[in-house]
Amino acid sequence: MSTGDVNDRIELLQGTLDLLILRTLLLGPIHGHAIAKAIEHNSEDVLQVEQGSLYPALHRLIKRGWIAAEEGTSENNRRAKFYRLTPKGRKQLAVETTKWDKLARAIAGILRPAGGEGKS
Amino acid sequence: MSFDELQRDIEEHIEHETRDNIDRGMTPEAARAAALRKFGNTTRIAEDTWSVWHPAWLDRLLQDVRYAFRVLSRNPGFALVAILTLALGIGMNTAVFTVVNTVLLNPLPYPDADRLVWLADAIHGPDYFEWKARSHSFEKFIPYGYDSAPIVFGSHAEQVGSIATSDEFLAMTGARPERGRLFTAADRNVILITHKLWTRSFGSDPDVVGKPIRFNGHPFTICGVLPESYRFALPLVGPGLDNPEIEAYIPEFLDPEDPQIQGALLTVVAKMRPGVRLSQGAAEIEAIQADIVGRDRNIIRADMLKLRILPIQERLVGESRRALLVLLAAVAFVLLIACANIANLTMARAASRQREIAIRAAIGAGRVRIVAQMLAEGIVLALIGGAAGLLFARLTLGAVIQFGSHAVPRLDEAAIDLRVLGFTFLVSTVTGILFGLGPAISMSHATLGYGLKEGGLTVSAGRSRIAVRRFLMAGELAVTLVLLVGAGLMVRSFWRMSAHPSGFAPESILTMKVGLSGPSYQGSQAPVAYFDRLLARVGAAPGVSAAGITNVPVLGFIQAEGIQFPKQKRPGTIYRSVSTGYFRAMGMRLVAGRWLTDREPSASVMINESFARAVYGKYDPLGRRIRSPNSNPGKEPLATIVGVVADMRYAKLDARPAPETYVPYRQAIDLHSVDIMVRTAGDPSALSGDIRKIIFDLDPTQPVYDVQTVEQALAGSIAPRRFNLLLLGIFAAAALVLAVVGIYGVMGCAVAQRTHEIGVRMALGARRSEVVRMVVRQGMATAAAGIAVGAAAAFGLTRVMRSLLYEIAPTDRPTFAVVCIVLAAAAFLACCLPALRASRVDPVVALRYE
Repeated sequence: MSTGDVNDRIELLQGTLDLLILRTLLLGPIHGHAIAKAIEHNSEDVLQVEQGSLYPALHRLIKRGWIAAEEGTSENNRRAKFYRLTPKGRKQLAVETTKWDKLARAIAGILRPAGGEGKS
Repeated sequence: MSFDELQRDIEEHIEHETRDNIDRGMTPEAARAAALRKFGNTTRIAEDTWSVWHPAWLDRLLQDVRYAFRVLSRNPGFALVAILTLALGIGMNTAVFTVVNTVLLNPLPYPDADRLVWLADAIHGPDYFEWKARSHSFEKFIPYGYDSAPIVFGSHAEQVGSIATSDEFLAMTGARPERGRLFTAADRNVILITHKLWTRSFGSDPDVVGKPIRFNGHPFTICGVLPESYRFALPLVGPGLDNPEIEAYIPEFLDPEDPQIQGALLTVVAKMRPGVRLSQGAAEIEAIQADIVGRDRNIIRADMLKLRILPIQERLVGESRRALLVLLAAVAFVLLIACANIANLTMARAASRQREIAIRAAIGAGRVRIVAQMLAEGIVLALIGGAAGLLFARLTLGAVIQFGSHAVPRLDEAAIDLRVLGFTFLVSTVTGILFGLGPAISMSHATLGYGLKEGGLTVSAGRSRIAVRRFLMAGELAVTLVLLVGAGLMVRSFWRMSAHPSGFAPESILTMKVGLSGPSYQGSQAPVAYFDRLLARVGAAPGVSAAGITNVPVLGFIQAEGIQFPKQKRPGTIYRSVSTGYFRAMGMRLVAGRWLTDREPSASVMINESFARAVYGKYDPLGRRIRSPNSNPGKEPLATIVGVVADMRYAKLDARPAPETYVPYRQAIDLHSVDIMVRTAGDPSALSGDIRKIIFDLDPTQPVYDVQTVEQALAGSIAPRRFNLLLLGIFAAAALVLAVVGIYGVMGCAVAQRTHEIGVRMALGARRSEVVRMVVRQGMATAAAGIAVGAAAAFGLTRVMRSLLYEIAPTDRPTFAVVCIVLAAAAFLACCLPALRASRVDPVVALRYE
């Protein structure tokens, strides 16, 4: 979906961006640019979202009813679209997070069969 | 959300990023460039986002449709011709399907109509009570009977079709009164009238409920009015009972103790219990009936009493089903021809569009996209045509209903509903695909590359297209031939039926009915006296050359003195009580003996040729004696045969003449329902008013009804055939016109493409007549192939029409021959015009062509 062009950046798995957006919105409604920034910042710049691919993802989530968009004013008094989590999206986030944990554990189990610590 | 809004959001995002970059110390230009780089291709991302909501195929489809509209509006002539052709084709299909939908597909307008069952054409009274008592599969057996009787109130008197039945019938048909109430099991001598009768004869009188009237000579009280939507849609059995209008309902409750029930024949509708299958119900009734027949071996059971268990709708629709399906197939053929014509037109246009297509291909349109575009054009055209066709169907439906209301049951219910709309949409779409696909395929293979290089027509591509078009032309002719043969066979049947003996002249005979009712006409003396007076006055009226009466014919077995028939083969006869004027009014011909007079000294009868043939063979029937029925069973007098008349078909055109016996009306059994026949010297319709007045003056309470010429009455007797003939005729005519236009189009185009070649030939010395002959020969070769294939197809297909024909084999050679000749002549004419044009080509101009 999204690709980083620098070596230490990680390509996002299909659907992972959706999960990250939902997680980011858990903290409250923010606008598109802020979402991209938050994801980059919180992953210590390892996950680089090609910012553009954010938009198809956002609209996919709106279509599914997991998030909603509303007009608002950004911190520097400009018109901006704010995205917020819907109750349905909140439930979905829980589901997706569990799924992700399972997947991460499974992969870690394969990569570190002795049960050594893995970083997801 | 709009695309603009999306782009604003993206711009907003980039704005934010730019500001962040400036905060990091970049110059504004560098900041914006970095922001854009980080974001990616804004247009593509906007489109990707957009496509989350709007799938790309939908977009492309809209684009194709928009383009199709542009192409069509740039060729208004082509669009108009194509749309009109389609409107005609789809419109006729929609109209026919609307009828099929109403009559064959829609359930009867009654609750739980799928549980209603027909058991037999007539049910013996005692059998009905036994079934009622013993059957478990059926909820109800509901008898109902038809009667046409006068309704009289104040100075108003008119004849009205009525149903006598029980309150259960009203419940079964889901009747709700519009005014007043329905009748109940406790009611006697009340009458329910329909909305139509209420508005027509009672002037929508709001106080009609409770009003006293006389019906069939007895006093009745109007108890309610049925709503306009209420319909009688059940089978009635008997001559002249094809879809009669029912305008009144009276209560009638059968009593098993009533001695008359022993001889009664009932019309019954049965309603199965929920969950019971037809086969179960049928098996039960068959078992009970076998038991009854086993008990009373001596009762002779007529054919009409035989069990005939089927869903009520099937019995009601009866013969109409096949006719409607034949019509539906015929009208589909017309649409097929219309399709071929439009495909032809499209392909003719393809030559001029080659460049456009080539350019589209050159700038990257794939073949799929181009084919999709052609299909879109076809479908857009077809849908517009379909909408116009729907309008056409809506406009013609009224005429169809009016013309066919006596020919097809339930036709008056016909309306365009959702299923019809779905049908029209489907047919339009398939049509569009059909005529869009042909050109699309023929265009996409060879031509994609050529168009630009050659800058116009390529000979080989043109040739292959002409070959396809010739194939279409032959196909059109084949289909048209099938339709024409079908229509031709119907016309021939019609002629057979309408061939009258000379001297009959049904157009100058006026017929009308009188049904004497009420206490003052009981017994046999009063009716005879009434008709004596009537005949004297009508016969003396100016303009009347003969007047006579006949009662409603009675059927019976022939009992001839000295002749024993085998028990199973006893011939039947129709007994008519007539006045002597009847023979003259009908223009009958005496074959042997003498005419009956109105005052025969002893019991005398006349017979017709069929009777003489069936009973006496080659022996002379004159002077022999037969039993003549009267109201005194077992004591019928032996009447002497005094004369023989020629056979005549005057009651029902499509029935063969049956043995008939004519009894003087003074010796009649029953003289209440009588047909009056008046032969007039001039225009019969001019006299009908005078004659009605004479009869009205005799007794104003006895209405005269069904006044018409015998010609009209005969035409009415074959209403279903006329309906089928008219529709099939229209379809065949439409097919012929379309086919001729199609041939003309193909030939014209073929000639135009060969202008150069023809010029060369003429420059080398070919004469005009030779050019004409060459073009016509090539056109006719295609036509001949089409006609041959069509004749073979018609030979196989027309047998499905067998039951719709009369005294004509479905493979009638003269019909086939005439149709082939007509079609060949039409094709010849359509070839000649382009050929003549070709011959007028100036070689110099032709050589410069291209």
